[in-house]
Amino acid sequence: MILAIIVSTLLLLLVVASITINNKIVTRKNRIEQALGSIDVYLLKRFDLVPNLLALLKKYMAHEKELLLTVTELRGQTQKAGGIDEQVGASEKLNKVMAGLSINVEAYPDLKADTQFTQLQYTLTELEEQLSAARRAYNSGVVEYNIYTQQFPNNLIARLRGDKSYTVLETENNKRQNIDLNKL
Amino acid sequence: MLNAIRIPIPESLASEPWFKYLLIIVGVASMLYYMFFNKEKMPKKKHIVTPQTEKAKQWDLQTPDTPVNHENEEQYQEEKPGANAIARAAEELKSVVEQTYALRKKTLTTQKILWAVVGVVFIVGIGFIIANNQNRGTTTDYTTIPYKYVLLLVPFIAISLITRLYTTQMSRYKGMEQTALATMVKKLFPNFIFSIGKSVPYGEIKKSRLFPWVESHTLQTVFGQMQKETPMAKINFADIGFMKENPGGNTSRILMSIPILNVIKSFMAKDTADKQMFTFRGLLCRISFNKNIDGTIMVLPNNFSQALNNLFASKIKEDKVVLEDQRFNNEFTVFATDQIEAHYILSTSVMEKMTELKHSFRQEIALSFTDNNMYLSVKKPEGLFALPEEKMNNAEFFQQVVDLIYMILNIVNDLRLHNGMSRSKWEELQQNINKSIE
Repeated sequence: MILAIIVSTLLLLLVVASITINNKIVTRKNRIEQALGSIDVYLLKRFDLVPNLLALLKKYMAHEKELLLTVTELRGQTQKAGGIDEQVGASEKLNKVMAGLSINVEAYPDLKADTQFTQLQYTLTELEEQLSAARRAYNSGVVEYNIYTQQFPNNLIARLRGDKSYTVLETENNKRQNIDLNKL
Repeated sequence: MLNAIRIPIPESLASEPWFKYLLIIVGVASMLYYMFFNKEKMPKKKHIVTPQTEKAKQWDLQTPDTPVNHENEEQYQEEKPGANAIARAAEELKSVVEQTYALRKKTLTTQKILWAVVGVVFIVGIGFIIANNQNRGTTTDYTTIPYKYVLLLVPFIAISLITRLYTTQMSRYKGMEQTALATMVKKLFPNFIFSIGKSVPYGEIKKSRLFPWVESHTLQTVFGQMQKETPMAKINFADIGFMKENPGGNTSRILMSIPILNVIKSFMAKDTADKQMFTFRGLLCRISFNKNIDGTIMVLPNNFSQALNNLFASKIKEDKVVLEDQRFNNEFTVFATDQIEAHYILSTSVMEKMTELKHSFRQEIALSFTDNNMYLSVKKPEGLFALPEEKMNNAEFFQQVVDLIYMILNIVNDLRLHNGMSRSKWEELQQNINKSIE
C-alpha cells in the first residue's frame, strides 16, 4: 500500500514536472516566433520605404544614375531572399551599400530641406532601431530556449516533442551600424 | 494592568498631608495643561514656490512658465552649472546654511533628550511593575497611596514639554532648510520651477508602477519639486517620501515594534526623525518625451525586498523579459508587455549605463516606461532637497545635487528618448506619417 502511494506520488510529480517543462518550452518558442515575426514586419516596412526614398533621390539627384541603379538592384535582391536569415543578410548588404555611398546630402540643400525627406529619414532610423531590437530579442530568446532545452531533464521532453535548437542571427560588427542618410 | 501598579513611596512621606495636596495640585494642573495648553504645534507645511507662480504647484506642468525659445529648439539641455557658479552660490548661501546646521544640531539634541526621557520612563515603569510583583504579599517599607495614578502624569508632562520644544525647533529648522534649498535651486537651476509642499497625484504614482504597495491613502510627503518644460520633453523631479510598511519591510517593522528597540534606535539616530520614518525616501522623476511607446516596460532592482513587494502586491501582469547583458540581469529584472519594445528601449549601451549607475549610486534605481513617459525612482534616504547628514562643504553638497540632476537628464539622451525634434515638429511629422499610411 505504502509502495503504491509512493509510486503514484512520484508518477504524479513526474507528470506535473513534464507539463511544466512542456509549457515553458512552448512559451520560449512563442517568444522566438514573435521576435521572428517582428523582424519580418520591420524588414517589409523598410523595403516598402525604399521606393519612396528612390523617388525622392531621383527628384533631386537625377544625375546620380549609377547610385540609384545599385540601390534598386539591391532592393530587388533583398525581396527575392528566401528565409529570414537570408533576408536579414540581404538587408544588411543594402545597409552597407547605402552607408558606403559617397554622396553627401549636404551637397543637396533642397533635398535636406524637403519635409518628405525628413520624414523618411526619421522613419528609416526608427525602423532600423526597431529591427535591431527585434533581432536582439530573437537572439536572446534563442539563447534562452537553447539553454533550457539542452539542460537535463528538459532535453528529454524537448526530444519527445521533436524540438530542435534555433540558430542565432549573426551580424558582423560593421554591419550593425544604422543607415546614416547624411552620408548618402 | 493599572491595578497591578503599586507605587513605592516611603510611608513617612505618604502620610504627610502636604504631599497629598501636592499630588492633587499636580494632577489638576496636568489635566488643565492637557486640556488647554498642549495644542501640539506640528511643523506647518510651507508652500515655497520659486518663481512665484500657481503653475509650479501642479505636478502636471502644461505650459512652461518661461517662454520657449524656438530658435534654439534643437538644444535639449541647458548648460550644466560650472564649478565657479556652484562656488558662488555656495558662498552666497554660506551663512544661511551655517545657521540651519546650528539649529539642526539643537533639534537633534532635543530629539535625543526626548527619547532618553521616554526610555527612562519606560525602564522605570517596568521596574516598578517588577518590584511591585515581587513585593506582593510581603511586608515592605512601601505602601500604596490613594493618589498614586496622579504621579503617572508627571513623566507625561515632562515628555509633552520636551515634545513641544522639539516640534517648535523642528518646524523652525525645516523652514530654514527649505528656504536655503529653494534659494540654491533658484541660483543653480534658473530655468527650473521649484516648489515645496505639493503632493504628486496618486494617479501618477500608480501609473509609474514603481511603487505597487502605495495606495491612495498612503501617507506621502513631497520635500521639493523641480519642473521644466523644453521643446523636447517635460521634466518633473520630486524629492518624495512614502510612509507605509511594505511587505519587504516587515522584518524591520516587527523588530522595531519592540518598544525599547525603537527607543534605542531613535536615541542612537544621527538624523532628525523626519528622515527616519519613511518606507521610501528618494527621488521620483517623470520625463514626458516625444517618442512612441505603446506598452509598459518596468526595470526593477533585483533584491529580496523588491521581490517580496512584487509577490505580495501581485500587480505585475507583464511578462518577464530576459536581456542579453548578464551584468544587467544580475542587478535588474525587466517586465514588459512587449519584449521587442523592451529591447528597443533597453539597448546594450543603456543596459551598461544603468548597471554603471547602480554601482556608482549604490542605491536602488527603478525605471518604468509607459504612455511616452519615463518614470525613474532613486532611493535616497537622506533626501535630495535636504541638507546632508554630516556637515559638508557647501560647494561639495551643491555639486552632488547638480551631478544627480544632470545624471538623470543625461539618461534621456542615453535612452534616445527624444529624437532630436521639438514636440511641435514631432507631432507634425507623426500626423504626416499617419496620413501617408492612410
